[in-house]
Amino acid sequence: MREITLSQAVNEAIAEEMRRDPGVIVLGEDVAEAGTPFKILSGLVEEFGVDRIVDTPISEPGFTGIAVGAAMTGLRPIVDIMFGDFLFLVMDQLCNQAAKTHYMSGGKLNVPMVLRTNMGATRRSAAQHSQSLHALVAHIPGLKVALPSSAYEAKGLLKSAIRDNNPVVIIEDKLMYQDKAPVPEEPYLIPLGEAHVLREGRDITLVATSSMVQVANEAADRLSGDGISAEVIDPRSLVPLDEDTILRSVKKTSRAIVIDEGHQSYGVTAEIAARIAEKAFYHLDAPVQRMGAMDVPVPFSPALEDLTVPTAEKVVERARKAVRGALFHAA
Amino acid sequence: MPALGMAQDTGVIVSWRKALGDRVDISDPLFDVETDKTTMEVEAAHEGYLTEIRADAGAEIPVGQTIAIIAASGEVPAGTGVDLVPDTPKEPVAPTAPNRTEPPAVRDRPAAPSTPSAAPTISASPKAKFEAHRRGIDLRRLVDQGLPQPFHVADLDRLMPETGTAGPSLQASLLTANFAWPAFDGFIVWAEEKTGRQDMRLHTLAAFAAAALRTEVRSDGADSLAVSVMSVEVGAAEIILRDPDLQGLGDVAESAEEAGDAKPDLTLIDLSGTRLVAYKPAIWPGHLTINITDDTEDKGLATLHFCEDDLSLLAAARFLDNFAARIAEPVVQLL
Amino acid sequence: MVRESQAKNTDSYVQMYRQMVRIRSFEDNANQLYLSGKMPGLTHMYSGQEAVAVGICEALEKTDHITSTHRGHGHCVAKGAAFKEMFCELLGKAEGYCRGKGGSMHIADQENGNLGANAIVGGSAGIATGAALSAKRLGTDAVTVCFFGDGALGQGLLYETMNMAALWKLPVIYACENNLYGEYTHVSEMAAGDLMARARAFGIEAVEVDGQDVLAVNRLAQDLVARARRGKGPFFMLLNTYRFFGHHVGDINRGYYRTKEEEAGWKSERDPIANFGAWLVEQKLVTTDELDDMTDGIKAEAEAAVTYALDAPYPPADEVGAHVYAA
Repeated sequence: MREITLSQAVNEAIAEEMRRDPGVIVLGEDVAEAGTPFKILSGLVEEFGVDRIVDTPISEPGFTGIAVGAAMTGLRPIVDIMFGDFLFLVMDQLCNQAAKTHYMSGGKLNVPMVLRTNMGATRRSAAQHSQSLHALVAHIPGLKVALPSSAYEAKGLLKSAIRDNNPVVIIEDKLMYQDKAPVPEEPYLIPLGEAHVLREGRDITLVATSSMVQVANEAADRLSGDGISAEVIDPRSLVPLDEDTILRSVKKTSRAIVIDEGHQSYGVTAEIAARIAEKAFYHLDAPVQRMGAMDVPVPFSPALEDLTVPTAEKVVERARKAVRGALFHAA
Repeated sequence: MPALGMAQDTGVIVSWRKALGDRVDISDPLFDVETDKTTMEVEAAHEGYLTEIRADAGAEIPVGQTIAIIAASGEVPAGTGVDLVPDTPKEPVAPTAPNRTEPPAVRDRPAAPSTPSAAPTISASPKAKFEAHRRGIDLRRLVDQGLPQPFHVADLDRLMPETGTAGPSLQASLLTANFAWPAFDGFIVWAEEKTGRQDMRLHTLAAFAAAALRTEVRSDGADSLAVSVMSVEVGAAEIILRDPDLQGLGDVAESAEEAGDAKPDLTLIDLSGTRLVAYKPAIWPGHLTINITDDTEDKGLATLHFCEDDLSLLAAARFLDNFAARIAEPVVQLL
Repeated sequence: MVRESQAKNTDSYVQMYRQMVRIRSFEDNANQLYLSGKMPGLTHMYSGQEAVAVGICEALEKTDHITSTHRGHGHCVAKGAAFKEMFCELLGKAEGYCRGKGGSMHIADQENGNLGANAIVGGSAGIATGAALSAKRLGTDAVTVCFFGDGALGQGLLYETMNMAALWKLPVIYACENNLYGEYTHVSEMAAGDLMARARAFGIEAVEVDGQDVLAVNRLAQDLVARARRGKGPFFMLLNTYRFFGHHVGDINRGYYRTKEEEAGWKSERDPIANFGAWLVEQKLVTTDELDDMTDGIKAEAEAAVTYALDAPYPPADEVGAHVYAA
């Protein structure tokens, strides 16, 4: 099978959907000729024209709001928010308007829009261009949230998101745009709400999102050398969340670690860990562990930045302790 | 009484600006209301005559209650007067004297044991506790054995089997029945011919045991029974058969399962055809073991090991007798 | 020819009068529902501003869109909504336009092109502009009117979207209802500089009009809507008007920010309904009796709708989880 980068996968997904449905348009900064600073959308404006690949002023709330209105009246806009950190700017239009319109109208108005943005630190972009804010949007009823972990996921999830009749926030990891993965030539969809078990294991379940999937996979490789067989699960979407796959796994292994690049506190790891503890309590032989990014604004200095995110080494250490029964808090 | 504020449930009428029978025009001040914030003037929203006043100045009235009537004509109905009793102010609740005989707050209490006895709390993972309960293992045994807490599932497997003097909760009882072999032996020969299988002996014993168990002990019938069988003579590894009594004769083998973590309901150990005469197995609640041994040339013995906490003597006796009878007269079983 | 057009004009004038009376009647009833403790939550009265909503909406087709504000009952009625469903919505009943799930501040009537009232000041500027983008992109000739108040001139979103509407020449009309007060503060204390210069800074044609004169509003709206439909938009209207009640129904003791004399003056001299009615009678297009009959009929219709809504059932409890996501 051919291998393409995550960036190319996103490009293909958008191009295919735009050919399929004339209502799909892209709104964002530097999306047309420039193809975005990450060069993801290069070539699209040549095929679809400036009426459908629309360069906007630097007005995130404005063009996100415009996308909401356009979605309510017959279009399927894809909003490109250059850095996930700018989610803070669009929260009213995304969370007060887009998320709630279907509900507040008693089911009469739909907002079929996609908001594409990115996450991930260790790029030396400092605190305001390195955040992973998916927990904020996952918290809001009415939004769906997807986190692709490879080029294959990126294409399939994005196509599903564009076809979804709800506002979907899809967040790619900016460090992964040049990472290649096998992607079929024929069109395919990955539905939201289906987790993916990357490898099966018996001793511990590692639930990981986005770029942390590779971290978990690497940790699993190392652990197998210790005779510890780890099962790695990529939820693929936070909302809806495929709880069943995760719970089935933990019931089998009786141990779990949740790994995510959002901050450790009040985030995605807390939600998934809580659900595991709630619903698989009697199957747990070790406390459910959470590994998120440190609760600090992302530092600029390379010496410091890399300390703030989970690594395979740290996962291995925690997994070994869990299996040995060496994790507990004194009563 | 109008709603005048966001969190207002009642209002107090401060004073009436119009008297009974007065002509009222839209926007005329009608009465003053005191809310928790301030005193507000309420204007008439309709024109007409104030024909009824139902609450006096000073009254506290809930929002939404009618307090006056403005009518098109000026006739004051007879008997109209103040008839709304304002809410009786709540009796001030006498503060109860703090109960000084109560011991002070929880803070001072030493860590409470979870068991009724004075034993300290045992720390174990949820899964370990669940498994221990399911297997009928008392976690105190792990404490006694000196295993470090908190306990995990693996620790249950490290538990040494109990020696002869079992604790009061695991009293093992023993019942023996005898039966004649010939009819059974003949039946097996026939069955092996008929089905072409070589393992009918063990399978048939398992089926008979399961049937007897289902009839005499698990008579609610809904349970699925797992029977573990082993034969020393044949030398095969232990296999587990699920509901062997519900299969056709030659199909019992189909019900074989992987021996896994699941504990069988009944273990059948066939020591016949050897010189072995006795075996005392480890026992736990919910589990039964039957050994089959040879007695005299034509007679066999079936010995049942069980916990009387779990299975009464009467039930055990009926079960074992039923089982032995089936071996003695296998053809009757088929009918 | 003249007679015919005169008759047509009379019909449309009477229709405008009728719509304004319907709004006034609706608001009076809504106010009563609140004061008598029968309506949950708060609502915001449009009384006094009827000529703005009616003058503009009478220039729109059913397929044109509007977005509305927290003070949205007037726009809703003017764009064709029915009393029954509106009262049901205000009371949270299942037969409301939004099945009781939106309430006064989020009331939407999709079939008539009302994309919804918005509780965030200026919050619907994006939605209106987006609807205009759709119309242009899909080649319909729909026009969108974005209603907002002088208070929304403080919201950045408005300027972002006007900028883009101007850049992309979108068929949207920004209708600023300047009722002189943003909540409890006079507009002069909240909006610096020239109000219309804001739109003009983006190259958007801005026109001021007396918001109490329904004919003037309507004439202007007809012109701008026609031009927007032909792709000459966007446009900005500044409509000078006044709200007779407080900011919301509980804002009764408001002498500290608005004098009684000022209020009384607007009510007596500048009531859009009274003034238009007087003009119609003076022009001999209708008689006073006809107007009174119409008003009585509308009042009765409103009261009947209120009674209906008070008795109507609430949505069932299991509906609380419905409509979070579209299928």
